[in-house]
Amino acid sequence: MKVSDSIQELFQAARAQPAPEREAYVRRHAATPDLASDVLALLTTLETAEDWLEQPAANRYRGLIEDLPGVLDDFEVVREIGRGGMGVVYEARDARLQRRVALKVVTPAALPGAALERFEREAKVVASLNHPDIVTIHRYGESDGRPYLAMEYIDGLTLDAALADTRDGAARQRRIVRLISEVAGALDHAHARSIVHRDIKPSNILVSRERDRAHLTDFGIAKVLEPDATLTEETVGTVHYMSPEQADPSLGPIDHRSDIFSLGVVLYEALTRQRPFAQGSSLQVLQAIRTHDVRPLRQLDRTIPRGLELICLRALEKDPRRRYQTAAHFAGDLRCWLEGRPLSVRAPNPIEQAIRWLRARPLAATLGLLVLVAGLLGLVSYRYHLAWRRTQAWVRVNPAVQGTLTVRPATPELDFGPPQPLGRAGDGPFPLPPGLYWFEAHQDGMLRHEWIARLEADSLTEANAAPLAEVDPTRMVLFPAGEYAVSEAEDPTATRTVTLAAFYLDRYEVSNAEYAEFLAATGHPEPVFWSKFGARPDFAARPVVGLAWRDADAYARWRGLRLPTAREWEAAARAGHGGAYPWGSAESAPTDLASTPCDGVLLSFSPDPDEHLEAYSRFVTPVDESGPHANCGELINMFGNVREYTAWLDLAAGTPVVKGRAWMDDPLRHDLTAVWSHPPDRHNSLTGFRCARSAAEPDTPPKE
Amino acid sequence: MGDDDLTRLIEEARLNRPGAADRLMERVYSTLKQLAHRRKLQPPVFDTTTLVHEAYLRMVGEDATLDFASRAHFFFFAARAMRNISIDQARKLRRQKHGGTMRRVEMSPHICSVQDQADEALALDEALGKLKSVSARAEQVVELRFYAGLQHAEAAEVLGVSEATVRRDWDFAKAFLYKELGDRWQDSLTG
Repeated sequence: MKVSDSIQELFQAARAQPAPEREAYVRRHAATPDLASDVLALLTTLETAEDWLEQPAANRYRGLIEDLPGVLDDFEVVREIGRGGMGVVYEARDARLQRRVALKVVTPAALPGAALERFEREAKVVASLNHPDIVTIHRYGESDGRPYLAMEYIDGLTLDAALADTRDGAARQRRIVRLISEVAGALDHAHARSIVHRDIKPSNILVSRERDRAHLTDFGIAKVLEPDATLTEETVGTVHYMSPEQADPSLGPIDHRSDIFSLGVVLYEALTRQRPFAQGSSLQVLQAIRTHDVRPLRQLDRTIPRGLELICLRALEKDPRRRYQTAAHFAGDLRCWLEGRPLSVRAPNPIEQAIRWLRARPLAATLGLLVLVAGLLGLVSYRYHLAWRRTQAWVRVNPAVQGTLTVRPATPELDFGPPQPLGRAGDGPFPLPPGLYWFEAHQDGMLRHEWIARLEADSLTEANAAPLAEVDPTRMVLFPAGEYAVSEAEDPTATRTVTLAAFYLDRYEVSNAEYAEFLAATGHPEPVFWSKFGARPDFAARPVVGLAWRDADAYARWRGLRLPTAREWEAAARAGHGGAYPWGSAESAPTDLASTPCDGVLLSFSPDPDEHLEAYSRFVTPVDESGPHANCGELINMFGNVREYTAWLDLAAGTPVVKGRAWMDDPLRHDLTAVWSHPPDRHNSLTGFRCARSAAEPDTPPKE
Repeated sequence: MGDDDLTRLIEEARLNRPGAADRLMERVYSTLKQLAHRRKLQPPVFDTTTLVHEAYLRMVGEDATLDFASRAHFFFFAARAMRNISIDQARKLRRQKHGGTMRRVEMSPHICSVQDQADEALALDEALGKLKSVSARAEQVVELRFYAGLQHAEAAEVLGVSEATVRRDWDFAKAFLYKELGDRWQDSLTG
């Protein structure tokens, strides 16, 4: 071929040459050097570009060419937002409620029989979540055999897109930390209701445009759609955020701490713009998640503050027991970092780092054995120190609490021991053995604050309680110091006498109206089904339910009160007669005891809020309306309406102790000694609470 | 369904009778859209027969005795109709986008979001315009291969050239278009 000035001719002639000779061929035959470089660029492009034109337009532009489905039940589809292996997401209008929704329509083929049922069940459970940073599921439905979810529409971008074109710097870091702390708060809300997300990744975190707030979506649903055992093409995009226990099921069951790890990966990637386990195929990534230590963030970017690095690495611990134990703790540290307060994480010391390094490199460990032996003595003592540190719970007291602190550890006899001095409120954090404690803050010879808290090993708890509330004698009943009859912890049929300090107990349970004040003042997450139960004006006077123990505890602290101990509750209920029933003994039971609705037993297991609502509206009465034979002296409905949380937690199981009787509990089979135990963070539509406080008698002068 | 009317329409369009091309395009366009709509209700298993083949069978019929030139003409029209459909839909989407914002959702690697599809379809259309000024036949090969989904041999038959020629044109066209679109995205990243 002679010299050519046609780009196509030259390109095609060069393609006919063996690959190694093409460049020389082009340079030799091109009319100009510019033409030569153009042709060479085309040759390279063809070799390297993704060859998408081989896929016919009808497939490639499938989403464009197909029309939108139009109308689906009450929803008018506006446009397609995106699609994936499991189905398509549309923006739609809810014609009835006139609001914008995101409609996820699942492809039936993606959900064979059993999976469809699981999807539906899961959707209903997730629909019960109610948190400002969790994308609300409005409705689950089916149209033409296609299941769909109508969800809150978030006008915004996914986290990765929202961060994509922001510039490095302190402002970006702070924004990331704030967004991730919001996600951690949302996760904590779900975890408290025993819901594990399992698929935390940037594309499941939506950042709203208007308020720049993170919203978590796709709860547990992806899990149903992607059975764990099989790694299909569809899951490839998501392995990067898996926890070690997800990557290797033999490591043990997956619990909420798996989400904490995944959120750690998201934080790492957001801060460094690199995934911690990014190498190679998905199998290689899974291997790395199981075995490779992540590179410390500051090795990638020196501008990342040390504290932030520590928080992130703590979340990314391979062993779930070494991670943050709760998403709330993770969120708390992130907020502490934002506010410049001390963190609960600390830097591993050089010896600990060395051990980790060696653990990851067995050969080096063998070679380093001699060195280690030399340092053994020092090491052992240091390890003991570290081990001790990790066995301790750490408590920090909020600066708003004033005075001298004392602490009363819980005893196995359902009681609290004598007060021990702890220090001044501003000091700390204080190390304490893990357990249940009663804290008191005294000032000027008076009790100013009191609260009861469970402390976990290797965690930092921030203690806070409003100043002790004034007593409203119409709301609370005084129980003077003295001897009270209660049941034995071991044998509830045996009675023993205990001496209690004076205390007040609420005359009746906390109502929805009272709880609503708390929600409005603090922004505390609403109880489940709140929109159906508590928020209804006609239910304002009924007891609040659907909350977890720690929600009740938070309410009480906000009021400057506390929950009654299990001892106080029972002592107050039996005061005056000492019997195990409000009317005394079982033999003297009144003949007109109300029969209990027995369908209630099944109700406790029903995920359907409407069933709970129906029962609640039929059987639960206003808090100050006495049920039949339910009052104990001046205390209303101790033995009726709803069960009640106490401050006591079963130390071994960590489960809150619940006393009293709900409308569905048989009054002859359960008495005032009965103890119900709930999972610690589980809400319950049969359980409410009433508050207590110590009677503030003048102290014996504080021992300084 | 054999359709004399359609055969005549194709014939007239070939002979450049006034309005015939428009009417033919309208028929092909609406058939393709109907097919696409129907197909959407099926599970997303990607069939190898393309929409255009379906449309051909539906409009011309399996045993219709359409002469070779008319058949070739049909595929040109169908390819052009597919190109128009993607462009029209992409423009529509872009207008909608103007008001609101897109929420990006995790995609499987093989399917990109409609917004990405729209951006790409419009960019490709533009790049095809440039390709046409370099090599008109290469542009036709892209229309037949990509938009009408024809195999090399089928496209060669329609164009009346050898299969090897179609392959060479196709390679050149792909290199040209990938380069054009690649430069474009490069610009959008740096600019």
